[in-house]
Amino acid sequence: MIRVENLTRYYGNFPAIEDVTFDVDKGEILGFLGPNGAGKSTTMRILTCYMPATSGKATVAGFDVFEQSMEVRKRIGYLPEHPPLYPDLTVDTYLDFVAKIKGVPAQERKKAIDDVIDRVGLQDVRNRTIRKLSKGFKQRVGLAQALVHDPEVLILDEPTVGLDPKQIIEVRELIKSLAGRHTVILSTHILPEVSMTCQRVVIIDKGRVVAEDTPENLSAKVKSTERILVEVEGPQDEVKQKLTSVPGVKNVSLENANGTARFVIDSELDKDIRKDLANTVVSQGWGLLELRPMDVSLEEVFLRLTTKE
Amino acid sequence: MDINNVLLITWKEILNARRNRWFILYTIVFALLSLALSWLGLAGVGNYNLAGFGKTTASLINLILLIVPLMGLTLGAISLAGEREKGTLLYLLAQPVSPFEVLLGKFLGIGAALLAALLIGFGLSGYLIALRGGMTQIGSYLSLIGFTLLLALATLGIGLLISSFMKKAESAVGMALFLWLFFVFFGDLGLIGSTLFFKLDIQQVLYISLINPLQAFKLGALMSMRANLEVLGPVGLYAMRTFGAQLAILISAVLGVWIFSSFVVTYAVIQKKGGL
Ligand SMILES: Nc1ncnc2c1ncn2[C@@H]1O[C@H](COP(=O)(O)OP(=O)(O)O)[C@@H](O)[C@H]1O
Ligand SMILES: [Mg+2]
Repeated sequence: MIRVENLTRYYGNFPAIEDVTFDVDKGEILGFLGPNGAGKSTTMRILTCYMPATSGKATVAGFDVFEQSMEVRKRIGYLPEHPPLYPDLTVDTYLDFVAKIKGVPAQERKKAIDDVIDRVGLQDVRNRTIRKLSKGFKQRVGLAQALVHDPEVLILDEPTVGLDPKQIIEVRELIKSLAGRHTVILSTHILPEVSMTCQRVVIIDKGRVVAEDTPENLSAKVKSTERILVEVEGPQDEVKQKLTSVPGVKNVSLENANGTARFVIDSELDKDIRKDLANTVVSQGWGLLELRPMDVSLEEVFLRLTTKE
Repeated sequence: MDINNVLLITWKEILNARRNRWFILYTIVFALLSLALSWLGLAGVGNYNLAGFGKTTASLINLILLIVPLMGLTLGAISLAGEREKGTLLYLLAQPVSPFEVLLGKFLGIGAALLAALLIGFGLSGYLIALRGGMTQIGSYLSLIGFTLLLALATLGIGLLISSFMKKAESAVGMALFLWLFFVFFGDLGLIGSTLFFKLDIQQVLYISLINPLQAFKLGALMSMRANLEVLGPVGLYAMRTFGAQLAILISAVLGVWIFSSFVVTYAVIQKKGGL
């Protein structure tokens, strides 16, 4: 349904994305995952005809984004990072405007607007001026404008940013319910969001695609290791060698060395090797200064995924 | 070009203006001031020894010269730049509409809203004048309205042009205010100064002053109330003698050229930039 091939975009001399290639199947929800500045929004802006690419090719529903842009525009619903709202219009008038500009036929328009208002839960505020709505409601209006013409393809740029936890859950539920009927690309820098809503994930970092997988495989990869920090007084190389030889240890890396050495140890999941590590160090006569499990933060997950390849 | 798209954007602009703070403020201020001036004019404080509509028309000219260009320039300047800042301009351009349709729709919509705002003020004042002073010289009042609407669209066009190349709404409005000051004050003073400095003859002075849309409006409005020599000044008198009844047409044409050319230049700027 969506095909992106070797897409590259420069801002001046700076490559925001380089050689980005991926496909999205019909009815699929694709998670577009990456840290801030990775190039997610840039890719989406190109797909939605907001701006041209420097090179490469992209097609949506078989239409070229650059050559047949009017056809693509009609088939896409897009929620940008900042929802493009007209604060002086009411919710109803705004959606009516969007439906008209997207070319929803007159006889279907009213029903389309009623439907989308129901779907995103805007019934109580439909006659209110957008300026006066809360952030959560504004985001829903943003979603409504992306959905009102029942587009084949939906492109949602970080749709849960800035919402409170309850609203986040609601929006995620809504997005999940879109699968099958719409083809969706959802960008996010939140890993769990992807596992909750998407069927497939493309990870992008520094403008390049670094991994493509199902959320299950991805979380398995991330969860398959546990991290332990060990600080030891002793000959660094020897310590490292001994620690590596402890059963269950997958990787040992030296963190910093000023007199003592701190080692970050990745171990297999569901296997508590702390005792073995301690024994190894003590039996060699080295000083064990610290030994504690480390939490794996999202930052690190990214780091691991994005530096692996 | 799809006329439906243009009208859709026009319609949206009109709806938007109805709730826009600036529009509401301008409408009220213009209506109140023109009512006040009409009332004062009727009370016999007018300067030009005219009666009824003629008299009030004269006192309205200066109000219009100040406030209408301010409205047109600032509303125009904020239109594209404000939407650009909010991200809605990009959004519009990513819809199945062309930049030309967006631009034309915006111009027509803001223009219509601006004219409506002015007509409210003119309507109320006209009603007051007719009630108190009768219908003498209603013709001059009507041509004042006509010239005012042209002036409003011309300054709106210039405002829109400012908006096409200013990134921030704030700086666009700043630029609009600067141009407003320039047209209002510098237009007059600069003209006098350069007349003295370059020793221009009266014909050159007339043509130069016609370039300033505010001066063109002023000349047209004064002429239409058949003001006396003292009010018209030597340049106005010269214009009357040279063009006679054609002067109204000439001035409308000057303002029309401003409207048309500012729009064309705006579109050219947008084309050159490769987007709004
Ligand atoms: N308009 C722009 N001009 C210059 N650089 C930009 C512009 N937009 C984005 N960038 C840069 O391009 C990179 C990718 O940005 P973006 O696509 O917004 O990333 P993401 O959405 O993943 O956070 C960033 O380094 C950002 O600073
Ligand atoms: Mg982004």
